[in-house]
Amino acid sequence: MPARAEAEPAPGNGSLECTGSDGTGAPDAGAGQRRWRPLPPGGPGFSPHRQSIILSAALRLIAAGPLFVLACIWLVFAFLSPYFLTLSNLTNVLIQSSSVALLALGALVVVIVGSLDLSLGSTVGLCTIVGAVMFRDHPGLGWLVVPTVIGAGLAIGLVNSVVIVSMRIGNAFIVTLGMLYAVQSLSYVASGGTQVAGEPGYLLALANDKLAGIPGPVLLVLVAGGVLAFFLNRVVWGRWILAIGGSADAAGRVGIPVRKVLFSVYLIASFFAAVAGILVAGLNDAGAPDSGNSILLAIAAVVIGGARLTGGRGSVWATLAGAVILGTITNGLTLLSVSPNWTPFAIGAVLIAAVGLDTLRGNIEGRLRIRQAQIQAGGA
Amino acid sequence: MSADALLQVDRVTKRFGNHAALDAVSFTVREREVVALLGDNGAGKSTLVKCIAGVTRPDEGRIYLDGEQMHAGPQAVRRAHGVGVVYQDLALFDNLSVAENLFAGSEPCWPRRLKSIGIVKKRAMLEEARSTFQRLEVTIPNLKTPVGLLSGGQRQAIAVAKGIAFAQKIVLLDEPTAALGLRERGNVLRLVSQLPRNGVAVILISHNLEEVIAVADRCVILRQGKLVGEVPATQASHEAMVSLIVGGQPALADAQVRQQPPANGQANPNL
Repeated sequence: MPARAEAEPAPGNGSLECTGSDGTGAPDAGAGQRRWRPLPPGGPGFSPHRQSIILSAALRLIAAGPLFVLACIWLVFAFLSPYFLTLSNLTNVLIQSSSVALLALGALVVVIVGSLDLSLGSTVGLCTIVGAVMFRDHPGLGWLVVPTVIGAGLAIGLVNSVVIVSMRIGNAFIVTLGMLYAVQSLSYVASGGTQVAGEPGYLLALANDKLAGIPGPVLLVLVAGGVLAFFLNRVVWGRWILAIGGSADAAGRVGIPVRKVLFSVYLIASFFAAVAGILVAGLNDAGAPDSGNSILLAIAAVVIGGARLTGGRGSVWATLAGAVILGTITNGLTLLSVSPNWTPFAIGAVLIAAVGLDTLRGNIEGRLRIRQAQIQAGGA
Repeated sequence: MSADALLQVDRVTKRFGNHAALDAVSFTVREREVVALLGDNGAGKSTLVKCIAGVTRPDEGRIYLDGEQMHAGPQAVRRAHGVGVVYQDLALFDNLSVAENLFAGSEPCWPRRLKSIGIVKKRAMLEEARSTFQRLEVTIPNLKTPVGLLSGGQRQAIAVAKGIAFAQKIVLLDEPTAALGLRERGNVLRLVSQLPRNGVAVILISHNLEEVIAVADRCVILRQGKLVGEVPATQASHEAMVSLIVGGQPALADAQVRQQPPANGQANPNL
């Protein structure tokens, strides 16, 4: 692609027009070969209005990108392996993606306010251990294991919130990195340093049974995603989380209780980590101290899902698609008998491609803004 | 307090460390009056606006609106009292839609008593936003567009609309035209000059004296946190304004103002 950025004019630069390289070429979203040049008023090229419509469409396409990318990857693997596009294999992919997907939902909420929570990974580990230890030592507890596990997860989130928000130690990256190690250590202490085999039967059922033909883990992810999407899109508190991600300063000035909302964010994230812990416990039938790696995979899913790490943008469904993309890569490469040593390589490549797509999006947004300014200057 | 005083600022003091950003500032705004707040950079104009807006709590002094004392607190409360604010840096959310920006912090929700955990009434919000922009004669092509995708002039218009839409008594504008071109500047000034006719008073901060003379009734001038004078906003008092702003001899003062780099780095051709 030619250097677009260098040719980008500042908004309000007067009558700049953007045309196809041949001056008449059909407008398309991949505007790579177009060049900027100043035109006299009424010169050739597309009207700013039409351009802005085209660019809006391109933006929408990129916003739906992760789902599109997922479809493409599925198509490629379907061509390469006859086993890929079978119901049982796709079900497998979804089940294998489910724990990362749940964790990614938690990570998404924190990313939306422009922060990170690295401790979510070891929170998952702690939750599986709390489940297994409670089941081993207090078999009479029954269903009460679930609220205990959730409570353990929320307790970690509470510590994060208190340290980051209440004590005003603003560096969430370092605080939650510290918590990642601290919580890992707690898991080792609680488990005696090893796996604790055996989880309550209903957790096994949740992880392995089907309801109305849908595997439990998939159902859990769909329900959790639906709840979070509704919360972020329709509930006032959820909109405030988005608003703070857009501008915490402006949020404070319009009366949004910024610190309370931020406090809640780490709690909400740890809740999803605890739910992920419950699922992982059921899938493994054991409590295992997590190495904390899964959170990096979850954050990768969030980024592949098009969320912006500086906050303000992120979609639940795109994040889930991001998690499934990661699961698909692992599954597809295995089917193709590629050595699993190459899987992290592929994940890394997809991650970097996702960031590239985000840069392209920023570029198109910039052009759209210029078009809008031109419409305003010319029309109104 | 005089009978027709709408807003009374009574000996308001605000300190940052040892530095008094505002030092016992008192003035009143009458109903339907447009008062310009003038002063050099660092004179305390923005701090005063933030105190009146309830964003900053004054260390001393009181602020009365309609005879009722106002305390620093949530913006929704100010809005309910009929106070609107337009901030210098716009205070917009680039990632939210035009309609959401208009209502951010006081979203219409159902059930209403749940407030922060209620469900946003998106359709009602859109409709109300549409009628608001219509009433203010501001053209925004699509209310669902994220504000970050709009041009500078449109963003400014939205910020002004957000500040004045729900204000029934008084609007505070902190340099609403600083970053604008001529046409957009005219639009904003038109919106401002409509306000008194609708029974709303205005406090306007501006570096642009021509603009102040065009829309304001009276000027209140701050220097180094102190109120140093009040003059009518007429062409005749132009020199007096400049002299009060910089506190020197008029001729020298004028030259200094000309050299003064504007606060936001934008060119300010009219000074």
